[in-house]
Amino acid sequence: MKTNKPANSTLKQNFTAPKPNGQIDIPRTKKLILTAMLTAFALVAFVIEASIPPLTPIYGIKLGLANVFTLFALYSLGTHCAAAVMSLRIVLGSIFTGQLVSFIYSVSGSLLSFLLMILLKRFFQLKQLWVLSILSAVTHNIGQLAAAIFMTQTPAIAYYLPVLILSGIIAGAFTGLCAQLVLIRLSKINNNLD
Amino acid sequence: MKKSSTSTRNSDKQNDIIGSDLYDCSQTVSYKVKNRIWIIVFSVLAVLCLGAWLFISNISSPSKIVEIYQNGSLVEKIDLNSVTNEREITLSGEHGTNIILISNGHIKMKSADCPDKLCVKHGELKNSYSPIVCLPNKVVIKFENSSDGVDAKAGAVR
Ligand SMILES: [Zn+2]
Repeated sequence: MKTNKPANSTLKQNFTAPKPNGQIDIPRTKKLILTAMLTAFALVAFVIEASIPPLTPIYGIKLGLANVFTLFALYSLGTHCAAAVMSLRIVLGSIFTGQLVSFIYSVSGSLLSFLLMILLKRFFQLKQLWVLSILSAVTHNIGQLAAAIFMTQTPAIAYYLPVLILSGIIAGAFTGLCAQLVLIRLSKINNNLD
Repeated sequence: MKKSSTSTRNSDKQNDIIGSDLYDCSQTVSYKVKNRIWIIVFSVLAVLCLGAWLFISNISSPSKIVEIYQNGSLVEKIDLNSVTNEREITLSGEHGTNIILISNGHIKMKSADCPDKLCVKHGELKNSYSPIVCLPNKVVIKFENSSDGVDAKAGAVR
């Protein structure tokens, strides 16, 4: 039983790869550079996604590719860096895409989902990242819907709730698995280099 | 410092590390069990949502009285059955302009200057559960709430 997990055992004291509990020993400069890079990647993903015409005539249904990098930062660099990646991405992304009106929806959804992420992160280790991702995607959509109801003063928009939860599950699973698989692969690569 | 201590530990006490509590096999098993439980939870939720959405979007509205809202306030109230000639309504506000097309029994957003054009892609207004919404221009087109069914259901959904 115990001997069939040798690959994972070397993961434990890795220099750059995250431990399952998400803590990591990285020098501050490296952390800063990684945060900046992840922000840039997230921004590119956000802008590309925003320039693709929406698939469905329903608000809030999108893949949320930028969230891959927020999750990546959360599990490899910690809460502070993830918060930086996400808030910078929202502000710069809104400016770059010129959709300042959707800024409020974006912020309310993202704030809610990020609060959920940092509160629940301790319960979900690296191999369960996809679960946290789905939960945060669903919360993001609910927050956005709540903001839309508040802004338009139309409670009838709440009828979109089921389809937004459904899209949150699909998109969250996709982005979560992306971040999770990349993090696991990276930790294995770092192990081999050591 | 940490790295060197790790490598010595790796070579000297390999069994200890393999069996360490962080990567205990029992925990690996519990990951799989937990993941399976979560997969079931999310699948059930997804199926429920899909069912709810299909149910909601296939109901057709009994009333044909349509309300057009801009910035949360009622702009126009039209009985679609009493419309004889096709006509357009132009709504221009601080956020942008929307052109609504009305014909007998039908209403749709003909064009809009919002960036996403989701309101135009929505097509015709089918029922009270999927109102035409233009979030950037804050325009909502929906059927009038009949006081009995719709409100109660709206409360249940929320
Ligand atoms: Zn629109």
